[in-house]
Amino acid sequence: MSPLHIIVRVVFAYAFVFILTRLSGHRTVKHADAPTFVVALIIGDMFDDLFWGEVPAAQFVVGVGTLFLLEVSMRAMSADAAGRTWRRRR
Amino acid sequence: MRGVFLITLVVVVWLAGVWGAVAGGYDRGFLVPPPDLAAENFTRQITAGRNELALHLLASSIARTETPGTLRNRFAPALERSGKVNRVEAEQVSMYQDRAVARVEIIGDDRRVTFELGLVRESYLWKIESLPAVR
Repeated sequence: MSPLHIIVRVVFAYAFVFILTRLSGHRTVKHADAPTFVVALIIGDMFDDLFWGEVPAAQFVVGVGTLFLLEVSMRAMSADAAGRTWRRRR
Repeated sequence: MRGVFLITLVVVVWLAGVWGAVAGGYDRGFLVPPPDLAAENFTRQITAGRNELALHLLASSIARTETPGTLRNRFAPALERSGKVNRVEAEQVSMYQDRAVARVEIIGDDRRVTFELGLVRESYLWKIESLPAVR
């Protein structure tokens, strides 16, 4: 496999995950919790499949995008639930 | 919920970009697995005995006639000759428009078995179109 193919795939994956990481709100590792760590492990396992061309890029985008969506949705729901509990106690 | 919307938007934009590159840009090996990798992946499934999964990698023209059993029988002599399979390697022999040929080598304990697979591009992905005369 030519190095050019690998470079294109690495840049593609890096840009995609960089944008999603920024949008998901984590600025540092200390902001992460256990579920985020598990999601990070799963996503980390997907990178090499794309780099070595074992899966089409579309599959990578759908897989990683879905994981980010679930992660952000869960965090939004838990923040909403915590806000409601806090208001009830006041 | 703004984050959910933005992430959905990025995923959709990225997917549209991939589709544009693959369909419009006629990408045959950057954002989709190139023919040699498709051939290697197919052979790996065969050597691992996952013939049902290997069927999904066949082009529609031969997928209709092949079954897991016929695949097993077709590759049984090659796997017998190679002995315990240690590695599978593939290289692209040729590519012209939507057709390609890849040479696959099964490296076993006893010997190396080499054969060629013909591939065709179907739905933007490389699929196995012709199965080998194993030598």
